[in-house]
Amino acid sequence: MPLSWSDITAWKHEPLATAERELRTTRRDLLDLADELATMGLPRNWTGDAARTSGTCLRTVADDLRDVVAEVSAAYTAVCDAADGVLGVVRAVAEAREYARLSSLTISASGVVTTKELLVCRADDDEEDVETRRARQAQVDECVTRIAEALRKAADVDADLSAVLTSIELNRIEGGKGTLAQASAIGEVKGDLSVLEPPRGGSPTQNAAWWATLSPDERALVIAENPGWIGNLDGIDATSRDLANRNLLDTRRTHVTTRLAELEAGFIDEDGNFDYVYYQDHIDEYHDLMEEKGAIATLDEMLARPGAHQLIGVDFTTPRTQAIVANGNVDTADHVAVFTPGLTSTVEGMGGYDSSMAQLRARTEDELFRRGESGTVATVTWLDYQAPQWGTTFAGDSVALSGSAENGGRDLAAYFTGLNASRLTDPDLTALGHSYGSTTTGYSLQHEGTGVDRAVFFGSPGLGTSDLGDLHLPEGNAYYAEAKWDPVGDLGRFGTDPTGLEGMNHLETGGGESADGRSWNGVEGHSDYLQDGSTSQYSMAQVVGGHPGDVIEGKNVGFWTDPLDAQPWWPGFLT
Amino acid sequence: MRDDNPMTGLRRTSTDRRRRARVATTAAAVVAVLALLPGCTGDAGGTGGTGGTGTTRTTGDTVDARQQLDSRRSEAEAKRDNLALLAEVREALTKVNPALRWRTPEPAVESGSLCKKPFDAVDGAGTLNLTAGGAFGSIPDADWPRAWAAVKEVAAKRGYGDEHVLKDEPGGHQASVYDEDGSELSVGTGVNTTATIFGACYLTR
Repeated sequence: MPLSWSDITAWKHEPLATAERELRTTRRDLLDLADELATMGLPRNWTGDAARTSGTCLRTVADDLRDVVAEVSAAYTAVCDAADGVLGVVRAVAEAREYARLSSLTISASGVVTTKELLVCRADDDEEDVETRRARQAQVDECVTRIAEALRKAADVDADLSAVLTSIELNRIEGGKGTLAQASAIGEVKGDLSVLEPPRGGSPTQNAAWWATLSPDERALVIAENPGWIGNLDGIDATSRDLANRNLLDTRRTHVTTRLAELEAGFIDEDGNFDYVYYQDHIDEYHDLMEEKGAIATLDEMLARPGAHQLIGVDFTTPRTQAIVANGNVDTADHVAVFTPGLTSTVEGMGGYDSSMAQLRARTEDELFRRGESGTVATVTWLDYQAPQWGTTFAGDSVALSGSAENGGRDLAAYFTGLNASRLTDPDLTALGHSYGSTTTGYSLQHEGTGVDRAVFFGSPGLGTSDLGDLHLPEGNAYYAEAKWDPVGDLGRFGTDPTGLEGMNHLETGGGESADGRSWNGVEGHSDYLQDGSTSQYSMAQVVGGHPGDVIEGKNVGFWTDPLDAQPWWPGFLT
Repeated sequence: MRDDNPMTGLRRTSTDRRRRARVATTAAAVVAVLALLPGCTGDAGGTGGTGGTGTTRTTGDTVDARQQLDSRRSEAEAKRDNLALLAEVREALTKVNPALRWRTPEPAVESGSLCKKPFDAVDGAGTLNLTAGGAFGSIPDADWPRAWAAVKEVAAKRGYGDEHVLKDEPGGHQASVYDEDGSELSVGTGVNTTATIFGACYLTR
């Protein structure tokens, strides 16, 4: 009979812990018999039928003892692992209940999730009602998913432990012909329970719920032995992904170094001449590895810098390396900003972005503290997509096409969703998108359920839509900055130039003065929006810190003519 | 006459040809527009820019940037000097308002990162943001002028001048001074008080 919610809410790991201790004592006592077994033998020079019979009995006793040791060892190992697994289930149950409490949901004794609101469509629903209901349904769904994953984990622990105990009961575990210690080792292998793997094709919410079912020891085991399970898995907390990705980085660095040396040696034949055939066969691989080498070098340097850095994602399987790097702690920060850069962005070159994000974080925290708030901030550079490069201008991931942005937008949406799912309380979340990265961000926000609170786009060739309503943002929470002499902002290649989007808030990019009387430096062109001390950086800090009302508003005309109705001279009555 | 794709055997249609022509034209237009940008990339920035590279950097540019950093203090020296400065700033501000309660026992490095242009291609270069720790409490309006004067005095001894006052109004004050490398000492007060150094780029080794 399958386990139920009421079954697992009664689970405690202490009884298994007690059994674990008892089995450990028994195993130790048995292993202490090893010396006696070794010295136990027949007297010398004793021959005859009795001696032969005694010898047979002795061997049988030894075999039986090895089998017992193996069985006890298997039982001990299985019970240890099961105790850990049960601990994970207990924690997952507690977390599901806590999530329900924080979300004002109720979980019945049988595991049914209910909410006070009636989640049905009504004829007089407006957009806000629809969005509110969708968000509420998402909370219910998340709670249901947490319960489902807890049950899946419980069933897995139950089945695995049962299988080992059944093997023992049916005498299927043999201790071999070696020493008692060797028999114990055989038993450990037989009793080893595997850690439940993440759900196949799981959503970020499912992944988060799965991770919640793992005990601390199980998580450590995954990070050490299977970092690839979680390194890029949306829904897993940033701290764990960081640890896993650093392991992956170490492994990949060794591989790249070794393989490059092999290739370079292969380019020269035994006679010291250039081996053109070998070169032709391996040059593509060589270029790929050189790209990775550059990316790894930058990541190593960034992660070695002081302060909190989290390597939330790294992917060497894509044509160009992809990575996600944070300043601060994404798991605990009150405010999180996720920045997506655009054309020509590479992991090797992302040090400058990281520096901009570090400055933005510091400025935002200073602003908050001076106001009397103690909010913490984390800023993320998200380069987990194939940002177009000059070399791919006329290829599939060209800057002129939306393919990379759409694919990247889908992945960015999953990252946003996973970020929220990985925390019991959602952070105040701002998306920042520059250039083609703003197009990617625009596409991401066209997915439901990202949980992004506000978005700032700057120097954008379009957001992938001509209707701001397509972005699932709270009304009034989209901001756009376009500097003078920034022609990218006027391209309107991927939807209407954001300058002309109805409902968009506009940020001043020239020299400006904030409401509290401070003056800020202006920027021009396409690439200086995050310049330290600039008007645009100041406004971004206000948005990221949750004070969008304090941005400096303004509209700057780009290089080409912005939409007519965005021009300062356009008659207001025609808007 | 049949016009087939030699790879797939599929017939190229006139629609395909028009679409490819549109893509090529659009791509050419985008490239042309982007090529007009300073630095010739979509995301390369000038000094203190948005960040990222993509510009083909000449060896000469990198050598010049390296030489510039070689002429500066090392990061370790700059860090030592700036932490000492922040300690002096704390002392100066506390002398003006002894009620200030600093959140940390002493100034510290808040974060470090790699450098932006024009130093981004220089190996072994980095920047640091250092904080005095932040203090609960404000510098009263009447005391701000002498507080700021005291800060400028200790900062001047460590090469900081070039003052920039962001705000000087009842209830809120913020000002910065810069050193010749471009490091910024920013001091401000509102409900609480902050003193932060946004460090310039230095060689870490």
